[in-house]
Amino acid sequence: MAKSILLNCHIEINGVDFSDHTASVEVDLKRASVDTTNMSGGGKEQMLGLKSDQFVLELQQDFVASQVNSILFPLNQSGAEFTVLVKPTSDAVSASNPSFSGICVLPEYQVLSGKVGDLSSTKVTLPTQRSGIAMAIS
Amino acid sequence: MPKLAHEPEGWREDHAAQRDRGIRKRTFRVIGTSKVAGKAQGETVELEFTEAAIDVLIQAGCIQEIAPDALELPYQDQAGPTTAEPIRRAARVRNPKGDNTNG
Repeated sequence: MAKSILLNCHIEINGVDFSDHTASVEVDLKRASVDTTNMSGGGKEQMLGLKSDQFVLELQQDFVASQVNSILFPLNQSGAEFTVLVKPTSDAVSASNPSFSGICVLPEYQVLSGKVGDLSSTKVTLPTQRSGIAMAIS
Repeated sequence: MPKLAHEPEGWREDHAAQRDRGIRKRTFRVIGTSKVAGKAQGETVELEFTEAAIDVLIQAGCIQEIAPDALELPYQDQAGPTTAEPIRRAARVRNPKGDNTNG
């Protein structure tokens, strides 16, 4: 497996391709740690509990129809669940270019942030619902 | 209902969950400048989203629902139904003695 530099990650929110508006992307897999430490062994022991996977994206804000705000604002207001899909590159899904997807909600949405002269951008955290983030290779 | 031998693991639960959340497959035309599910402006796209997620895309100007009669159905290019030929076959008659003969 070759090392790679992130150049053309593929990012979809609710089916809409926002690759050309995404400055950074994180795919975070998290599991709760449940302490099961006991009297045998002299050290801590834990089991992995509930998932709390999430996607973190830094998006370049765009108020034009079918672009960033027109999708994120109603998703936040309606509370609707939506799919998020991320691939390391825009190539087809394969063993060397797996897709990571999950059903998410948008609990927080900062519409505008920045000072004069800055690029208008928004950082969104998209926590997954129920089954977390799934990886596919085909 | 018993699980079928060829049934993928979790299939039945996934579909039941989708049905509960109102997810069904529908066809749309992409009208916005952003690609939707890999389809560009003017192309048709099949989405399997919740009603709420579809509403967001329609209101954002990403997609437009295609009326079912505008879809190209697979049978449109085929010839229409033909008159069925009557089936001619000898009837099997069971006689009182019990041995079967063709009548």
